Amino acid sequence: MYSAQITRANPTLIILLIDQSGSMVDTFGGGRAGRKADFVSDVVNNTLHDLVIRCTKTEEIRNYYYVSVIGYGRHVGSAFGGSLLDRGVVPVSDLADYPLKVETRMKRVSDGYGGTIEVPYRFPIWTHPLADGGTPMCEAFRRAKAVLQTWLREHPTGFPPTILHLTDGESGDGDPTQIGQEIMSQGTDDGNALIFNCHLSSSSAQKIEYPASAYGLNDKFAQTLFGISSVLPAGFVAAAQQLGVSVADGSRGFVFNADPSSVVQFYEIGTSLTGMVVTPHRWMDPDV
Amino acid sequence: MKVGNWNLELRTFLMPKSGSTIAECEDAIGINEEALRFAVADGATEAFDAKSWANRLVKSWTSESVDDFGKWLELQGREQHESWNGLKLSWYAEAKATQGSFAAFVGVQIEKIDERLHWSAVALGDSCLIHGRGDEILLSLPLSDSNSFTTMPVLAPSSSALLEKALPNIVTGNDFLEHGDTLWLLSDAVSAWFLNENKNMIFAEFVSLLNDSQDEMLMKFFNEQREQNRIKDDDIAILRLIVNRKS
Repeated sequence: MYSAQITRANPTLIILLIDQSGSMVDTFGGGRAGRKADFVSDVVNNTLHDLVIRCTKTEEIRNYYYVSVIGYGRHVGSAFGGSLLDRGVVPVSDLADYPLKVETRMKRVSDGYGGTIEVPYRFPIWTHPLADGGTPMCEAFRRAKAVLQTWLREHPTGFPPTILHLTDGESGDGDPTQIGQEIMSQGTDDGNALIFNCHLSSSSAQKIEYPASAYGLNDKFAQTLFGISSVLPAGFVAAAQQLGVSVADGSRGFVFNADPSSVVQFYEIGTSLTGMVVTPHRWMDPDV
Repeated sequence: MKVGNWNLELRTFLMPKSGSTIAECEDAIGINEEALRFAVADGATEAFDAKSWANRLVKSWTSESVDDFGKWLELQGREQHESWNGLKLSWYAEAKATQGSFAAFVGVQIEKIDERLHWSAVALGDSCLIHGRGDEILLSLPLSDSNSFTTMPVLAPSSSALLEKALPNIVTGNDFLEHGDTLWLLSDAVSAWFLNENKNMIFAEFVSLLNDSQDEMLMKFFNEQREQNRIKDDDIAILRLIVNRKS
């Protein structure tokens, strides 16, 4: 289970569900500056960037992954823009070729003499930050379920789809438990679809990361999200441990009251999958 | 190959992963019969220009004596990166290139010491050297257990910034050879398979196909092994030396 090799012949689907409700205009809390929506947009773009790079073979992109990004707030739908507008599921090759724009950013790298220098690099943008409207979480999950069912009809074998859901508040259109469980009951011959949930904090409340039980989850909404969070398969557990995150067998893909670093790790763990490294030889990243 | 009173019989086999052509195969084999230097490298599929990096490593290592593996690797990496200068790359190829290339590597030097043959090897990653005597494995390095093969091995990087982290993982070994001994250089998937299957009947079938130089039958054999999930679907590189003393 959750051991199928991800190949061009047997790709897998990753669905990013992003809360784009009005409250995402708030900061993380705990004195941190910056809107949650801006930070999340950056992390999502980084995640898509990493997926493309992972599939890059010199100048060719190998479609190991197909991606859907669904935003929900005033509207529920694809969060892609530009040439990818309204595209439900996109192969990484199209992600690579059709970003909204490519920015030039600066990063620090080793100068080879014990110091660092700043070098420019090109960074593509696929989604813009958005914070508008209510929190139609159930409708977003229903949209994800529709994407999932179409995918499973066409790809009954291979590594099961993964849904990474990020929200900063409670559902505004009902209890997502039933729809979440319907999603988690479907899958491929290698296992059921996975849902991982990350709740953002707007306060300095204690974060809860990858628990194996609901014990100690006093918040009803936390219990709801925990109930529709999949147990982390072994490959994800290994990836999380490699990132220094405390997880064990039975840990679920669930973070409550996440701070910025938890959000970054959530996406890194959620896209680690099995058979592919978290980022290419991440342990070898000289900037880590 | 004749080395004094010894005869070395060489056999190689290269096969790409399913769905790839031989041109896309990222495993490489290096042979220098005159210098008795042999190598196998396995370019990391997810790395930039991995095939060319694997080929550079085996070609360079077999063509010259290497006293300082770290310095040699650094030089190869510098030349590899220089080969990318001036290329007009897409944003994603450029991003990939900044991470550099990676490959597993194993190289062996054979030399005559008095009237005996001696091998010395260096390995970084999960491509393996296996020294066999009869039905027994005398030594397998750097890995000796089929369960030790992971999806995140330490590999030989082309980027000098990563050398410091990589070099402590180099494994070396050496020993004398006796009449009938076999030295294998294998990339990771077939190494793991070898360590798992070398006592089973299926191994005898493999050796027989290898001995008969039946590459097409060998490909069919490994495709069946892949279908049965007995070997990971990955490129396969095999270099085998059988050592015989002339009577």
